[in-house]
Amino acid sequence: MTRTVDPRFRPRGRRHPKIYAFILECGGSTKTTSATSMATEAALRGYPGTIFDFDANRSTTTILGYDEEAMKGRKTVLDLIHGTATLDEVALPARYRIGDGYGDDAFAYIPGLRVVPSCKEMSTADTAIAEDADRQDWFAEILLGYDGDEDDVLWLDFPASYGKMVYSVIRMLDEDDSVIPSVRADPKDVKLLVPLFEELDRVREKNRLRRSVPGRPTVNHLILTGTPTASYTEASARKATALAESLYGDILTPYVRYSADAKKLYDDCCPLPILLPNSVPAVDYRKLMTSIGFPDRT
Amino acid sequence: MAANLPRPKRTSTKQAPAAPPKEEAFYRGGKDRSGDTVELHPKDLCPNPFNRRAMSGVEELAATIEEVGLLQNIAHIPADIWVEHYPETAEKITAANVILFGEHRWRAIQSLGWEVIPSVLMDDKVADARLITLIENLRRAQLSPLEEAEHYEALRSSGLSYEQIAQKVGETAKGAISKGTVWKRVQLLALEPEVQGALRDGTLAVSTAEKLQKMSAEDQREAVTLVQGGMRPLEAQAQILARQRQDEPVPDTEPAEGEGAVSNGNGTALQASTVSTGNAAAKPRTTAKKEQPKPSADQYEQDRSTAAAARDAACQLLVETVDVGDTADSELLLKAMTGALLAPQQQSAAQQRALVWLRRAERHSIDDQNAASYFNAVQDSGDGELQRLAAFASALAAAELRTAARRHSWGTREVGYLRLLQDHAQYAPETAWEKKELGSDTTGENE
Repeated sequence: MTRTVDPRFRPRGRRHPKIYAFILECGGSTKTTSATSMATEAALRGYPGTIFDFDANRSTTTILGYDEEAMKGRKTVLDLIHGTATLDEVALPARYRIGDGYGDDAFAYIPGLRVVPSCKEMSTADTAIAEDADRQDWFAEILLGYDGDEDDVLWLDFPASYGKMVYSVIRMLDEDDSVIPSVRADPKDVKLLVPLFEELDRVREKNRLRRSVPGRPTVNHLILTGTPTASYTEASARKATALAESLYGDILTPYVRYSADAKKLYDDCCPLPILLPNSVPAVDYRKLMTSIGFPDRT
Repeated sequence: MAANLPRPKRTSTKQAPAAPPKEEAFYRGGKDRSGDTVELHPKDLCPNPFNRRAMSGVEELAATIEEVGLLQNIAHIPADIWVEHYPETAEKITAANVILFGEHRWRAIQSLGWEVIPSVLMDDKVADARLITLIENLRRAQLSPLEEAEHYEALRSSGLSYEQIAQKVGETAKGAISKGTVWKRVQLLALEPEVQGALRDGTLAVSTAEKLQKMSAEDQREAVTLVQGGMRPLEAQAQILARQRQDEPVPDTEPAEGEGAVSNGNGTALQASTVSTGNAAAKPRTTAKKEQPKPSADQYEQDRSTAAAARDAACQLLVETVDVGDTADSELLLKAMTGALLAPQQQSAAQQRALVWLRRAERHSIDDQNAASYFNAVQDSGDGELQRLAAFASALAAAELRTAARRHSWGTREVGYLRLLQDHAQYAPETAWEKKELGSDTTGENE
């Protein structure tokens, strides 16, 4: 495949794609919903990408077509961490269910999107990295070895923790990439942004004098989901939205409004833009993508 | 865009959520499933045909179980599933269930007359039964090396490679095991029945048995006899090795002067010939080659063993002939003890060796096989001469052990000890090894 990659996605002439990382130490803060929706929407709009599932709960892997049964015998992101497989060996074409069973006709593929699947054992990744110092560099190796035009973007979906595995990845980000906290309009979620900024500062400080590690993860966008609508007027949602606006107005993307539909992607195992393209959140994610630089180019 | 992609198959729109039937989600009795603990009558169980562990300690176990109960359940596999998998064992299956592990406990409970024994159903593990039996036994750490070897051999014949066995056993049992270890264990099965017997009853260490592997059948038997007679394994090995050299036709070697003191009638043929090695300085080294089952890669290594055996005999001579009451010998005693006291002590090993010499010289006076208690008894005996003799033998042994263990260049301690043997036991270094270490005699002018 020869394709000219828009230089926007190879900032400052680097060879590996631009990275969007969904991180926040807060469970249920819509990281996975935003990551799968945005990666899918981007792919559908003509921006191919690969989404990494780092969470042992395997939600992203499942939503993009690979449940426990389908994953049997396949390599996972843990093989990348252990250095026993290459990115191309692990990445699977993203898909969603259109029929029963596990045959070829049971799934339709999402063009331009690959998923690096997770596994239950990802809960041991921190230990694996702690036990073998060389493993710390696994993600750096992947970026250094990246020499293709397959992806415009790498999307990273993290678990709700800041451990050694998360560190090994986010230290490879710089200000051209973006850490995206995706938070619900809920005071608890919004307050957890402070520890995230502290954590990113810690990563910067640790790598300040290093030359081989960029070490500058930067929050360029903040996504607020489940914001109030005409019919959804919970006080806490209104309060949280106001709080986020006053504190982080400069990086806020257009809101993703509340909808009960958003919860269905876990049931149907299909990313929102394909499952319910006309739902309120799907429409909002489209607006969001346009605003952060992914206009439809198909 | 999304418009031209096929429609997803939805489940969230269905009235009844696709939950698993309750019977599958929760166990509600009826058929036993793997992992369930069921109570069986002991008569409904039979031993695992793969279990090679000797049944010992059942009575003690029964006593414990009677006192504190059965702490850990046994496991079983239904006989029909077992036989389907291992038809070759069918005739050994005598009950409705086969014990996967826990035969000792089962026997103990039978002896207590219990009506039921709790056992975990593990029918899904039938394919790995052989391995589980081995690992369970290895874990309990009482499997003898030969039992272990038999297990490995059985796994070999079921088609696993040494490496696969090591891997499987290593990953489940704590503590890795290498393919070399597996191989070495299996090799034990090729040893002579006498050696295997000694291994089985614990009178021979595995490491010793491994050393015997390369010897001929006859030598193996001899080595076992020597070791069982109280000789240290290395020593026995060295003696046999040294004797192999002397088994060369040595036409009428004339005893050198001083030899007469050795042939005092209580040295065995073996000792006499070993001593003559020490003295027959004229005998050329080149005759030492014979059909040896173990041609060592390192000539010095052989030399070291030969020299050690020769020195041992010289020490034996000293222990036999020294007169601790005679002032003429006091210089010898002083030298030996000074050497021993100035060096780091290896008390217990030296005492063991000393006792061997004393017993062989029949000068031990007190009949005690155990070196530590023997030397205590010597201390308590109040017999001044015996004490001095024992101390002398022990000092000599300390020096000999240190010298024999020394692989690389000798220091003044070793050289001093050699001089003492030369001066007082008419010891003549014969091997190239010793000559090199002594440094001066390489020209052979002393010979």
